[in-house]
Amino acid sequence: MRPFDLLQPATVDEAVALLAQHGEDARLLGGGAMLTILLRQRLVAPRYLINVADIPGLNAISSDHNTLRLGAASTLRAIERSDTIRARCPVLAEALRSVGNIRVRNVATIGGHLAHADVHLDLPPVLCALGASVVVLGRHGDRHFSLDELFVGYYETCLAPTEMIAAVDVPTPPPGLQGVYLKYCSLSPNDWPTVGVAAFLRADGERIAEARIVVGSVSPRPLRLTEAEDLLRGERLNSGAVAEVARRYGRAADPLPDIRGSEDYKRRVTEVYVRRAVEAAATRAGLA
Amino acid sequence: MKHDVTLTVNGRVHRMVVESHRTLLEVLRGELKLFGARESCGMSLCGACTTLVDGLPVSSCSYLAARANGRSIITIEGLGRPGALHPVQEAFLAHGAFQCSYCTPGMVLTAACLLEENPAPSVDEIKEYMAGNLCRCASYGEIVEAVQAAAGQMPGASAPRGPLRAGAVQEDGHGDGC
Repeated sequence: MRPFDLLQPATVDEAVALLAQHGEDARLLGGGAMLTILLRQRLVAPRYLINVADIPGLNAISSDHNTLRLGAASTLRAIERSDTIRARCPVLAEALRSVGNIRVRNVATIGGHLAHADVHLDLPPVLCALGASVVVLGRHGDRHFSLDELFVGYYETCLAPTEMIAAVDVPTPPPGLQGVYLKYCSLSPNDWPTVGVAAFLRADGERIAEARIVVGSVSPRPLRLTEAEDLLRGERLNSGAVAEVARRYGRAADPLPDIRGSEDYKRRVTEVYVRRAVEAAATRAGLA
Repeated sequence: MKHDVTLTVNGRVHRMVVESHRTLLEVLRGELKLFGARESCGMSLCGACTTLVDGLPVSSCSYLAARANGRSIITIEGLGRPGALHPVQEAFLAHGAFQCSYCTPGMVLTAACLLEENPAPSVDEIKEYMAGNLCRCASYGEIVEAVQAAAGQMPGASAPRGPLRAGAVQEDGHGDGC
């Protein structure tokens, strides 16, 4: 690694002040699961790293009736093992079990995970489908962004260089909303996914009251097609409609060809995994 | 930038100065001459550098040493010692759960942690927890058997316990391998 200065603010206010002072010369350090690798590979070489992972209290996981709040420095493993998350947001806990490996999850923070904005990350599809938002601090005070606003493109968020994610808010899922996160890895199970699909359905009797389907890894931002979701709403589950929804996601996917598959292959895998995820969500929602 | 840090490694307190960009692995192998943690992939993928920080497995190759200030570190040298091996170490020997042994320290530490959290894991739970520790000799069958065998041998195996503590602190304060 090229030498840098590790700054260790004790509060988020200090962290924001350091960001304002050093601007583009500084990077925020969460758990470092990704950033230390980029540093070691000399893909980034900031003069200052501002360690926010050890700011007291920033790793708090709290909840009220309407919202689960994940402090930005909460580790993925702490979220995965949180009784509150397991009880109120089981799909999130389930998805976390497949992220990276146990060592990565022990250090990686939810704030760093989202700020990295790699399209292959597992949580953006799940959190987008759950309607999560981020609390952002910076020189302009507090701002709130939905995840839909946060992700702009490959490794790019809407955050200014002087802003930091302080917390992630996840609305308590409405009663009856059941879902899955299903991913496919062309290479080893520890590799980035080829495609990852979060699908949630809510039943009203035998009909689908609500469908939320968000796909990761196959486009510059998490892919959600509300008009495709609408094909399911108010209907009974039927394989023709599910197949049509899956086809639309496959067509809309805009993946980069790489070692995990060609563009065409990834579109096909997207279609297959959207179908399977919707079917699995339907089973959990008591619709199938 | 230099940082004054206090690292408790295998129960022994070390006060030292580390530079911002030094990794925990560099300090363990360079300054403390503890060679159990190895560097292999350098990308948190393989688990050869697995080290316990406050009882949790991390990749020491990509963990900044300055962040370990005030924390408890356990390496394979601190888990057990000759004559008083940890149950996971005994089980690895009994089941021949290695060939070249390069991955063994990481495998053993990860397995010990798994059993602290979950004293009676299923085969699937073992595979899931340890999926990030790679063995290029492919001794996986024996490793899973050893972890299952060790599960029955853990003291107080009936309930999950707290974070793993160093088991090899000697009276004179010198851990093995120093």
